[in-house]
Amino acid sequence: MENLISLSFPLFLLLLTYFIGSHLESNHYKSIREREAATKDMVVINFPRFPFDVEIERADMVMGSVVVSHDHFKRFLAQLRIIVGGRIKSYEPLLDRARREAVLRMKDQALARGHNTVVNIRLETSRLANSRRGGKGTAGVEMLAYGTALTIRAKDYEG
Amino acid sequence: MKADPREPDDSVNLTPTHWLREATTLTVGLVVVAVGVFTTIAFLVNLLAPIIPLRIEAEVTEAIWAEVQEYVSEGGEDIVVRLDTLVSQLANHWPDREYDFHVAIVEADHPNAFTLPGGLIIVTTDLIRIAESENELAFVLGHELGHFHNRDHLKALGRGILFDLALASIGMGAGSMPNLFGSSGLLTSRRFNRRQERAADRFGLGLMYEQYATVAGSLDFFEHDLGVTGLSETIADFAGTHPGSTTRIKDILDFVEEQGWPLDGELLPPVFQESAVSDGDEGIDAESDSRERGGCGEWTLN
Repeated sequence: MENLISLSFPLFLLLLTYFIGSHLESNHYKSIREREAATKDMVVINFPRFPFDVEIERADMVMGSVVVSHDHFKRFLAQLRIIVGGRIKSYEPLLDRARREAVLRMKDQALARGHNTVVNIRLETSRLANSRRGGKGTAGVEMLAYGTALTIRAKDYEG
Repeated sequence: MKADPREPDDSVNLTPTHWLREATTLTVGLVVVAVGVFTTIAFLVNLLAPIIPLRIEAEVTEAIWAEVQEYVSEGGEDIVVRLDTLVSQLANHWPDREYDFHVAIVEADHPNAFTLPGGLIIVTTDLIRIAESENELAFVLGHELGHFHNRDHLKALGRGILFDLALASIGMGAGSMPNLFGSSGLLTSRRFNRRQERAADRFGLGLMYEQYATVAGSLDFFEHDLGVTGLSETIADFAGTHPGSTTRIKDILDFVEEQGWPLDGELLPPVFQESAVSDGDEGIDAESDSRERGGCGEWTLN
Protein backbone atom coordinates (compact mmCIF):
# COMPACT_ATOMS: atom_id res chain seq x y z
CA MET A 1 0.00 0.00 0.00
CA GLU A 2 2.87 2.34 0.81
CA ASN A 3 4.24 1.75 -2.67
CA LEU A 4 0.88 2.57 -4.22
CA ILE A 5 0.68 5.81 -2.27
CA SER A 6 4.24 6.75 -3.06
CA LEU A 7 3.54 6.06 -6.75
CA SER A 8 0.22 7.87 -6.94
CA PHE A 9 1.37 11.06 -5.22
CA PRO A 10 4.00 11.99 -7.84
CA LEU A 11 1.48 11.11 -10.54
CA PHE A 12 -1.08 13.40 -8.96
CA LEU A 13 1.57 16.13 -8.67
CA LEU A 14 2.45 15.71 -12.35
CA LEU A 15 -1.16 16.01 -13.45
CA LEU A 16 -1.77 18.96 -11.17
CA THR A 17 1.26 20.83 -12.51
CA TYR A 18 0.23 19.91 -16.06
CA PHE A 19 -3.15 21.60 -15.66
CA ILE A 20 -1.80 24.60 -13.73
CA GLY A 21 1.17 25.00 -16.10
CA SER A 22 -1.01 24.72 -19.21
CA HIS A 23 -3.41 27.31 -17.84
CA LEU A 24 -0.63 29.78 -17.02
CA GLU A 25 1.06 29.21 -20.37
CA SER A 26 -2.17 29.75 -22.24
CA ASN A 27 -2.79 33.02 -20.35
CA HIS A 28 0.73 34.18 -21.06
CA TYR A 29 0.40 33.49 -24.79
CA LYS A 30 -2.90 35.35 -24.86
CA SER A 31 -1.26 38.36 -23.26
CA ILE A 32 1.76 38.14 -25.61
CA ARG A 33 -0.41 38.03 -28.74
CA GLU A 34 -2.52 40.98 -27.61
CA ARG A 35 0.53 43.12 -26.87
CA GLU A 36 2.25 42.08 -30.10
CA ALA A 37 -0.83 43.15 -32.03
CA ALA A 38 -0.89 46.47 -30.17
CA THR A 39 2.79 47.24 -30.94
CA LYS A 40 3.09 45.69 -34.37
CA ASP A 41 3.61 49.04 -36.10
CA MET A 42 6.89 49.61 -34.34
CA VAL A 43 9.85 48.73 -36.55
CA VAL A 44 12.14 46.25 -34.82
CA ILE A 45 15.08 45.06 -36.91
CA ASN A 46 18.50 43.68 -36.28
CA PHE A 47 20.42 45.63 -38.92
CA PRO A 48 23.27 47.41 -37.19
CA ARG A 49 22.14 50.55 -39.02
CA PHE A 50 19.41 51.59 -41.40
CA PRO A 51 20.13 50.55 -44.98
CA PHE A 52 19.01 53.91 -46.25
CA ASP A 53 19.42 57.42 -45.07
CA VAL A 54 16.99 58.55 -42.45
CA GLU A 55 16.89 61.49 -40.20
CA ILE A 56 17.40 60.29 -36.62
CA GLU A 57 16.12 62.65 -34.03
CA ARG A 58 17.14 60.69 -30.93
CA ALA A 59 18.92 57.40 -30.08
CA ASP A 60 18.84 55.39 -26.92
CA MET A 61 19.68 51.91 -25.70
CA VAL A 62 16.68 49.88 -24.58
CA MET A 63 16.39 46.45 -23.11
CA GLY A 64 13.77 43.98 -21.97
CA SER A 65 14.44 41.05 -19.74
CA VAL A 66 12.28 38.20 -18.51
CA VAL A 67 12.79 35.17 -16.32
CA VAL A 68 10.53 32.24 -17.10
CA SER A 69 10.32 28.80 -15.55
CA HIS A 70 8.59 25.72 -16.83
CA ASP A 71 6.24 23.57 -14.84
CA HIS A 72 7.12 20.28 -13.18
CA PHE A 73 5.23 18.27 -15.82
CA LYS A 74 7.18 19.75 -18.74
CA ARG A 75 10.42 19.27 -16.85
CA PHE A 76 9.50 15.61 -16.31
CA LEU A 77 8.70 15.30 -20.00
CA ALA A 78 12.06 16.81 -20.92
CA GLN A 79 13.86 14.38 -18.60
CA LEU A 80 12.19 11.46 -20.34
CA ARG A 81 13.08 12.90 -23.75
CA ILE A 82 16.72 13.38 -22.76
CA ILE A 83 17.05 9.63 -22.17
CA VAL A 84 16.08 8.70 -25.73
CA GLY A 85 17.06 11.89 -27.55
CA GLY A 86 15.13 13.92 -30.09
CA ARG A 87 13.51 17.33 -30.00
CA ILE A 88 12.71 18.51 -26.50
CA LYS A 89 9.37 19.89 -27.55
CA SER A 90 8.26 20.68 -24.03
CA TYR A 91 10.97 23.37 -23.78
CA GLU A 92 9.93 25.09 -27.01
CA PRO A 93 7.03 27.08 -25.52
CA LEU A 94 9.22 28.12 -22.59
CA LEU A 95 11.88 29.63 -24.83
CA ASP A 96 9.37 31.00 -27.31
CA ARG A 97 7.49 32.80 -24.56
CA ALA A 98 10.73 34.10 -23.09
CA ARG A 99 11.94 35.51 -26.45
CA ARG A 100 8.67 37.19 -27.30
CA GLU A 101 8.12 38.58 -23.81
CA ALA A 102 11.65 40.02 -23.70
CA VAL A 103 11.20 41.69 -27.10
CA LEU A 104 7.83 43.06 -26.02
CA ARG A 105 9.31 44.55 -22.86
CA MET A 106 12.11 46.08 -24.88
CA LYS A 107 9.57 47.59 -27.25
CA ASP A 108 7.54 48.85 -24.30
CA GLN A 109 10.60 50.66 -23.00
CA ALA A 110 11.32 52.16 -26.41
CA LEU A 111 7.72 53.31 -26.78
CA ALA A 112 7.69 54.74 -23.30
CA ARG A 113 10.69 56.85 -24.24
CA GLY A 114 8.98 58.09 -27.38
CA HIS A 115 10.95 56.06 -29.94
CA ASN A 116 9.41 54.45 -32.98
CA THR A 117 12.20 52.09 -34.08
CA VAL A 118 14.65 49.64 -32.52
CA VAL A 119 17.68 48.54 -34.52
CA ASN A 120 20.59 46.23 -33.87
CA ILE A 121 18.51 43.92 -31.71
CA ARG A 122 20.29 41.13 -29.86
CA LEU A 123 18.88 38.30 -27.79
CA GLU A 124 20.78 36.57 -25.03
CA THR A 125 19.84 33.63 -22.85
CA SER A 126 21.18 32.50 -19.55
CA ARG A 127 20.18 29.50 -17.51
CA LEU A 128 19.18 29.97 -13.91
CA ALA A 129 20.72 27.22 -11.82
CA ASN A 130 18.55 25.33 -9.42
CA SER A 131 20.14 25.70 -6.00
CA ARG A 132 18.34 22.63 -4.65
CA ARG A 133 20.26 20.30 -6.94
CA GLY A 134 23.66 21.80 -6.38
CA GLY A 135 23.33 24.02 -9.44
CA LYS A 136 22.89 21.06 -11.78
CA GLY A 137 19.22 21.53 -12.50
CA THR A 138 17.56 24.38 -14.36
CA ALA A 139 15.25 26.61 -12.40
CA GLY A 140 14.36 28.65 -15.48
CA VAL A 141 15.83 30.85 -18.16
CA GLU A 142 16.48 34.53 -18.41
CA MET A 143 16.00 36.06 -21.84
CA LEU A 144 17.45 39.49 -22.48
CA ALA A 145 16.57 41.52 -25.56
CA TYR A 146 18.42 44.76 -26.17
CA GLY A 147 18.91 47.14 -29.02
CA THR A 148 19.26 50.74 -30.07
CA ALA A 149 16.02 52.62 -29.99
CA LEU A 150 15.73 55.43 -32.53
CA THR A 151 13.25 58.17 -33.14
CA ILE A 152 13.03 58.50 -36.88
CA ARG A 153 11.00 61.08 -38.69
CA ALA A 154 7.85 59.41 -39.88
CA LYS A 155 8.24 60.41 -43.55
CA ASP A 156 11.56 58.58 -43.80
CA TYR A 157 9.78 55.23 -43.41
CA GLU A 158 8.44 55.64 -46.90
CA GLY A 159 12.02 55.09 -48.13
CA MET B 1 12.58 50.15 -49.35
CA LYS B 2 9.63 50.20 -47.06
CA ALA B 3 9.51 49.01 -43.43
CA ASP B 4 6.89 46.29 -43.09
CA PRO B 5 6.57 45.21 -39.43
CA ARG B 6 4.58 42.02 -38.76
CA GLU B 7 3.51 40.06 -35.74
CA PRO B 8 5.57 36.98 -34.84
CA ASP B 9 4.26 33.73 -36.25
CA ASP B 10 3.25 31.05 -33.74
CA SER B 11 3.63 28.19 -36.18
CA VAL B 12 7.38 28.35 -36.74
CA ASN B 13 8.99 27.84 -33.37
CA LEU B 14 6.40 25.70 -31.67
CA THR B 15 5.77 22.04 -32.48
CA PRO B 16 2.09 21.26 -32.02
CA THR B 17 2.08 18.57 -29.34
CA HIS B 18 -0.43 16.94 -27.05
CA TRP B 19 1.61 16.87 -23.88
CA LEU B 20 -0.28 14.07 -22.14
CA ARG B 21 0.03 11.87 -25.23
CA GLU B 22 3.74 12.65 -25.46
CA ALA B 23 4.19 11.81 -21.77
CA THR B 24 2.27 8.54 -22.13
CA THR B 25 4.22 7.47 -25.22
CA LEU B 26 7.58 8.22 -23.62
CA THR B 27 6.69 6.63 -20.29
CA VAL B 28 5.29 3.44 -21.79
CA GLY B 29 8.23 3.14 -24.20
CA LEU B 30 10.79 3.64 -21.47
CA VAL B 31 9.03 1.25 -19.10
CA VAL B 32 9.08 -1.45 -21.78
CA VAL B 33 12.80 -0.88 -22.35
CA ALA B 34 13.47 -0.79 -18.59
CA VAL B 35 11.58 -4.03 -18.00
CA GLY B 36 13.60 -5.65 -20.80
CA VAL B 37 16.91 -4.42 -19.39
CA PHE B 38 16.06 -5.34 -15.81
CA THR B 39 14.78 -8.78 -16.80
CA THR B 40 17.99 -9.43 -18.68
CA ILE B 41 20.06 -8.25 -15.70
CA ALA B 42 18.05 -10.43 -13.31
CA PHE B 43 18.45 -13.44 -15.59
CA LEU B 44 22.22 -12.95 -15.90
CA VAL B 45 22.66 -12.37 -12.17
CA ASN B 46 20.69 -15.51 -11.35
CA LEU B 47 23.00 -17.43 -13.67
CA LEU B 48 26.20 -15.95 -12.28
CA ALA B 49 25.44 -15.71 -8.54
CA PRO B 50 25.89 -19.41 -7.74
CA ILE B 51 29.43 -19.43 -9.15
CA ILE B 52 30.70 -16.34 -7.34
CA PRO B 53 33.51 -17.45 -4.98
CA LEU B 54 33.09 -16.90 -1.24
CA ARG B 55 36.26 -14.77 -1.29
CA ILE B 56 34.44 -12.14 -3.36
CA GLU B 57 31.47 -12.31 -1.03
CA ALA B 58 33.78 -11.60 1.88
CA GLU B 59 35.14 -8.53 0.07
CA VAL B 60 31.63 -7.24 -0.52
CA THR B 61 30.84 -7.78 3.16
CA GLU B 62 33.90 -5.76 4.09
CA ALA B 63 32.80 -2.95 1.79
CA ILE B 64 29.33 -2.68 3.32
CA TRP B 65 30.18 -3.60 6.91
CA ALA B 66 31.13 -0.05 7.90
CA GLU B 67 27.73 1.18 6.82
CA VAL B 68 25.93 -1.64 8.58
CA GLN B 69 27.84 -0.95 11.79
CA GLU B 70 26.33 2.53 11.98
CA TYR B 71 23.01 0.86 12.71
CA VAL B 72 24.24 -1.95 14.94
CA SER B 73 22.57 -1.80 18.30
CA GLU B 74 24.86 -0.96 21.20
CA GLY B 75 24.96 -3.41 24.08
CA GLY B 76 23.23 -6.77 24.02
CA GLU B 77 26.40 -8.66 23.10
CA ASP B 78 25.15 -11.65 25.08
CA ILE B 79 22.01 -11.70 22.91
CA VAL B 80 24.19 -11.74 19.82
CA VAL B 81 26.20 -14.63 21.28
CA ARG B 82 23.01 -16.56 21.95
CA LEU B 83 21.69 -15.88 18.47
CA ASP B 84 25.04 -16.92 17.00
CA THR B 85 24.79 -20.15 18.97
CA LEU B 86 21.26 -20.75 17.73
CA VAL B 87 22.37 -20.15 14.14
CA SER B 88 25.31 -22.53 14.60
CA GLN B 89 23.01 -25.22 16.00
CA LEU B 90 20.72 -24.87 13.01
CA ALA B 91 23.59 -24.68 10.54
CA ASN B 92 25.03 -27.93 11.91
CA HIS B 93 22.20 -29.65 10.06
CA TRP B 94 23.53 -28.23 6.81
CA PRO B 95 26.73 -30.26 6.53
CA ASP B 96 28.17 -28.91 3.26
CA ARG B 97 27.83 -25.23 4.22
CA GLU B 98 30.76 -23.00 3.30
CA TYR B 99 29.90 -20.00 5.43
CA ASP B 100 30.80 -18.90 8.93
CA PHE B 101 27.55 -17.37 10.04
CA HIS B 102 27.26 -14.38 12.28
CA VAL B 103 24.28 -12.41 13.55
CA ALA B 104 24.18 -8.63 14.02
CA ILE B 105 21.34 -6.75 15.68
CA VAL B 106 20.32 -3.36 14.34
CA GLU B 107 18.02 -0.82 15.93
CA ALA B 108 14.74 -0.61 14.05
CA ASP B 109 11.14 -0.06 15.02
CA HIS B 110 9.83 -2.74 12.70
CA PRO B 111 10.46 -6.48 12.79
CA ASN B 112 12.78 -7.55 10.02
CA ALA B 113 15.60 -9.93 9.23
CA PHE B 114 17.76 -10.12 6.16
CA THR B 115 21.02 -11.52 4.87
CA LEU B 116 24.19 -9.85 3.69
CA PRO B 117 26.98 -11.49 1.73
CA GLY B 118 29.57 -13.51 3.58
CA GLY B 119 27.26 -15.17 6.12
CA LEU B 120 25.98 -12.12 7.97
CA ILE B 121 22.39 -12.19 9.21
CA ILE B 122 20.89 -8.88 10.29
CA VAL B 123 18.07 -9.01 12.81
CA THR B 124 16.22 -5.93 14.01
CA THR B 125 15.61 -5.24 17.69
CA ASP B 126 11.87 -5.19 17.06
CA LEU B 127 11.94 -8.70 15.65
CA ILE B 128 13.60 -9.95 18.84
CA ARG B 129 11.10 -8.02 20.94
CA ILE B 130 8.07 -9.70 19.45
CA ALA B 131 9.51 -13.23 19.42
CA GLU B 132 7.76 -15.29 22.06
CA SER B 133 9.81 -18.48 21.74
CA GLU B 134 13.17 -19.75 20.57
CA ASN B 135 11.32 -21.76 17.93
CA GLU B 136 9.94 -18.59 16.36
CA LEU B 137 13.41 -17.14 16.06
CA ALA B 138 14.78 -20.45 14.83
CA PHE B 139 12.34 -20.35 11.94
CA VAL B 140 13.39 -16.81 11.05
CA LEU B 141 17.09 -17.67 11.26
CA GLY B 142 16.58 -20.96 9.42
CA HIS B 143 14.75 -19.06 6.71
CA GLU B 144 17.72 -16.70 6.36
CA LEU B 145 20.06 -19.70 6.20
CA GLY B 146 17.86 -20.91 3.34
CA HIS B 147 18.65 -17.70 1.47
CA PHE B 148 22.35 -18.40 1.95
CA HIS B 149 21.85 -21.98 0.81
CA ASN B 150 20.27 -20.75 -2.42
CA ARG B 151 22.61 -17.73 -2.57
CA ASP B 152 19.56 -15.48 -2.90
CA HIS B 153 21.34 -12.65 -1.09
CA LEU B 154 23.95 -12.51 -3.87
CA LYS B 155 21.30 -12.55 -6.55
CA ALA B 156 19.39 -9.75 -4.85
CA LEU B 157 22.51 -7.70 -4.10
CA GLY B 158 23.81 -8.22 -7.63
CA ARG B 159 20.48 -7.15 -9.07
CA GLY B 160 20.39 -4.11 -6.78
CA ILE B 161 23.88 -3.00 -7.78
CA LEU B 162 23.34 -3.56 -11.50
CA PHE B 163 19.93 -1.87 -11.42
CA ASP B 164 21.53 1.11 -9.70
CA LEU B 165 24.33 1.10 -12.26
CA ALA B 166 21.80 1.03 -15.10
CA LEU B 167 19.87 3.91 -13.54
CA ALA B 168 23.02 5.86 -12.71
CA SER B 169 24.20 5.52 -16.31
CA ILE B 170 21.17 7.48 -17.46
CA GLY B 171 21.44 9.91 -14.57
CA MET B 172 18.48 8.59 -12.61
CA GLY B 173 20.03 6.42 -9.95
CA ALA B 174 22.11 6.93 -6.86
CA GLY B 175 24.55 8.51 -9.26
CA SER B 176 27.84 7.70 -7.66
CA MET B 177 29.86 4.55 -7.19
CA PRO B 178 30.14 4.77 -3.37
CA ASN B 179 26.37 4.76 -3.11
CA LEU B 180 26.06 1.62 -5.12
CA PHE B 181 27.10 -0.46 -2.15
CA GLY B 182 25.31 1.94 0.13
CA SER B 183 21.74 2.44 1.16
CA SER B 184 20.09 2.02 -2.19
CA GLY B 185 22.05 -1.13 -2.92
CA LEU B 186 21.18 -2.53 0.46
CA LEU B 187 17.53 -1.64 0.13
CA THR B 188 17.10 -3.26 -3.25
CA SER B 189 19.11 -6.26 -2.11
CA ARG B 190 16.50 -7.08 0.50
CA ARG B 191 13.80 -8.04 -1.94
CA PHE B 192 13.25 -11.63 -2.88
CA ASN B 193 10.54 -13.09 -5.03
CA ARG B 194 7.91 -15.51 -3.84
CA ARG B 195 9.69 -18.56 -5.21
CA GLN B 196 12.86 -17.66 -3.31
CA GLU B 197 10.90 -17.01 -0.11
CA ARG B 198 9.13 -20.36 -0.40
CA ALA B 199 12.41 -22.20 -0.96
CA ALA B 200 13.97 -20.43 2.04
CA ASP B 201 10.92 -21.26 4.19
CA ARG B 202 11.23 -24.92 3.27
CA PHE B 203 14.94 -25.00 3.99
CA GLY B 204 14.39 -23.28 7.35
CA LEU B 205 11.64 -25.72 8.27
CA GLY B 206 13.97 -28.60 7.49
CA LEU B 207 16.64 -27.21 9.81
CA MET B 208 14.02 -26.61 12.50
CA TYR B 209 12.78 -30.16 12.29
CA GLU B 210 16.32 -31.54 12.50
CA GLN B 211 16.99 -29.39 15.56
CA TYR B 212 13.75 -29.78 17.51
CA ALA B 213 12.08 -32.81 15.88
CA THR B 214 9.07 -30.53 15.42
CA VAL B 215 8.27 -27.40 13.44
CA ALA B 216 6.08 -26.01 16.21
CA GLY B 217 6.34 -22.23 16.44
CA SER B 218 7.23 -21.80 12.77
CA LEU B 219 3.95 -20.03 12.04
CA ASP B 220 3.91 -17.94 15.21
CA PHE B 221 5.59 -14.94 13.60
CA PHE B 222 2.84 -14.75 11.03
CA GLU B 223 0.38 -14.22 13.85
CA HIS B 224 2.03 -10.88 14.51
CA ASP B 225 1.35 -10.00 10.96
CA LEU B 226 -2.24 -8.88 11.05
CA GLY B 227 -1.81 -5.45 9.53
CA VAL B 228 -2.54 -6.40 5.95
CA THR B 229 -5.18 -8.90 4.97
CA GLY B 230 -7.60 -9.72 2.18
CA LEU B 231 -7.63 -7.49 -0.86
CA SER B 232 -5.06 -5.14 0.66
CA GLU B 233 -2.71 -8.06 1.01
CA THR B 234 -3.21 -9.04 -2.63
CA ILE B 235 -2.44 -5.49 -3.75
CA ALA B 236 0.47 -5.21 -1.36
CA ASP B 237 1.77 -8.59 -2.46
CA PHE B 238 1.59 -7.51 -6.09
CA ALA B 239 3.26 -4.21 -5.30
CA GLY B 240 6.02 -6.05 -3.48
CA THR B 241 5.50 -4.30 -0.18
CA HIS B 242 4.73 -7.42 1.70
CA PRO B 243 5.64 -11.10 1.46
CA GLY B 244 2.02 -12.24 1.20
CA SER B 245 1.62 -14.06 4.50
CA THR B 246 -1.56 -15.95 3.66
CA THR B 247 0.06 -17.58 0.64
CA ARG B 248 3.21 -18.38 2.58
CA ILE B 249 1.34 -19.90 5.50
CA LYS B 250 -0.56 -22.13 3.10
CA ASP B 251 2.69 -23.13 1.38
CA ILE B 252 4.27 -23.93 4.73
CA LEU B 253 1.27 -25.96 5.92
CA ASP B 254 1.16 -27.93 2.67
CA PHE B 255 4.90 -28.62 2.84
CA VAL B 256 4.83 -29.66 6.50
CA GLU B 257 1.91 -32.00 5.84
CA GLU B 258 3.71 -33.45 2.85
CA GLN B 259 6.81 -34.10 4.95
CA GLY B 260 4.80 -35.48 7.87
CA TRP B 261 6.44 -33.13 10.36
CA PRO B 262 4.55 -32.31 13.56
CA LEU B 263 3.33 -28.76 13.97
CA ASP B 264 2.77 -29.11 17.68
CA GLY B 265 5.22 -29.64 20.50
CA GLU B 266 6.94 -27.84 23.31
CA LEU B 267 8.10 -24.31 22.63
CA LEU B 268 11.38 -23.24 24.19
CA PRO B 269 11.63 -19.85 25.89
CA PRO B 270 13.26 -17.10 23.82
CA VAL B 271 17.05 -17.29 23.83
CA PHE B 272 17.33 -13.72 25.09
CA GLN B 273 14.93 -13.87 28.03
CA GLU B 274 17.58 -14.08 30.76
CA SER B 275 19.51 -11.20 29.17
CA ALA B 276 16.42 -9.06 29.16
CA VAL B 277 16.13 -9.46 32.92
CA SER B 278 19.79 -8.72 33.56
CA ASP B 279 19.91 -5.75 31.18
CA GLY B 280 17.08 -3.98 32.98
CA ASP B 281 15.53 -1.08 31.11
CA GLU B 282 18.07 -1.18 28.33
CA GLY B 283 17.47 -4.83 27.63
CA ILE B 284 14.94 -6.26 25.30
CA ASP B 285 11.85 -7.21 27.24
CA ALA B 286 10.03 -9.70 25.11
CA GLU B 287 6.95 -10.20 27.25
CA SER B 288 6.04 -6.59 27.91
CA ASP B 289 6.76 -5.45 24.38
CA SER B 290 4.84 -8.24 22.74
CA ARG B 291 1.86 -7.36 24.92
CA GLU B 292 2.15 -3.68 24.05
CA ARG B 293 2.31 -4.41 20.37
CA GLY B 294 -0.75 -6.62 20.65
CA GLY B 295 0.42 -8.63 17.66
CA CYS B 296 -0.53 -5.93 15.18
CA GLY B 297 2.91 -5.26 13.75
CA GLU B 298 3.95 -5.97 10.23
CA TRP B 299 7.05 -8.07 9.87
CA THR B 300 9.11 -9.05 6.92
CA LEU B 301 11.47 -11.87 6.30
CA ASN B 302 13.83 -11.14 3.50
